Amino acid sequence: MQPTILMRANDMTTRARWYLAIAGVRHLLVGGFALLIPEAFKSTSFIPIIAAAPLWFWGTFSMGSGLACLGSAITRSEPLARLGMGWSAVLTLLIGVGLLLAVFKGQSASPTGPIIWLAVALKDFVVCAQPIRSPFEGLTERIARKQAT
Amino acid sequence: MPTLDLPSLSQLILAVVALGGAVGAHRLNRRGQVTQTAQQIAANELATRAQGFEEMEALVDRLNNEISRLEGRADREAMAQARRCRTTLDHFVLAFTTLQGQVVSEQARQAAEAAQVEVEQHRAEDHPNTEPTLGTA
Repeated sequence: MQPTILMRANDMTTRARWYLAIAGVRHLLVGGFALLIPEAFKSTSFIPIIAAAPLWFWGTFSMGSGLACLGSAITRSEPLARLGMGWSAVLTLLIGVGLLLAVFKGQSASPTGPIIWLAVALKDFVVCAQPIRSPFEGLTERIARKQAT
Repeated sequence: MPTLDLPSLSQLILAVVALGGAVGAHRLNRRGQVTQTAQQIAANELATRAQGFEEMEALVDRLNNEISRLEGRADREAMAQARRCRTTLDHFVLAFTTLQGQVVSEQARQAAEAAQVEVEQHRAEDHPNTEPTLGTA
């Protein structure tokens, strides 16, 4: 007799989908501002980042990450999710380190920027190391639905 | 000694960070996939065991019904047979309950299997005309 399969293998956890969607929107907004309203990035904190590469590069890089994250949240594709999360982690880390460089060069308006960006980068790395699909998710949802009715 | 200007220094630092970050993200992604595969295997094992529990529950229900039928008779021999059935079934239910409490215990699983064999032997000896039990019969 075949063992009962608790859950379809391609089911993505709700938590992972929300995280990917939020990360995707974050990168699309940052990338959109960088490409469409570059003059919004006038803080001296961005000098090391813009000195390393033009703003359009950062904007395009961010849009790509945002599309991968948001696309994977919609399509529930695990390869795309893993690509998007890795991309997001690296991009967020780069911005965080860039802002940190500005702190050391006395160009930063506030130290909170690198703290927050580096913390979000670490969070992205942590999510990379976690399962994106869970075989228990479907079972949990079924039991929760049963208890609700 | 040559000095690096700001764009070069920023580019160098961020390039190193990008490379390290990409390698780190790739490794962490692979670790996540390994954990995910392990969870899927564990879930399938649990599902298999749960299926075994369902089969054993069906067996207990069948035996209970059979005993109730025998106990309902006025025949003394049938009553004695029912008492023996009840004792055997109690042993089985005890082992079954232990197994449910200790899912990961191999010893408990073996005890439940031994109890099930006992039930089968009892059925073959005392109830040769009854239908075979579910699952392992």
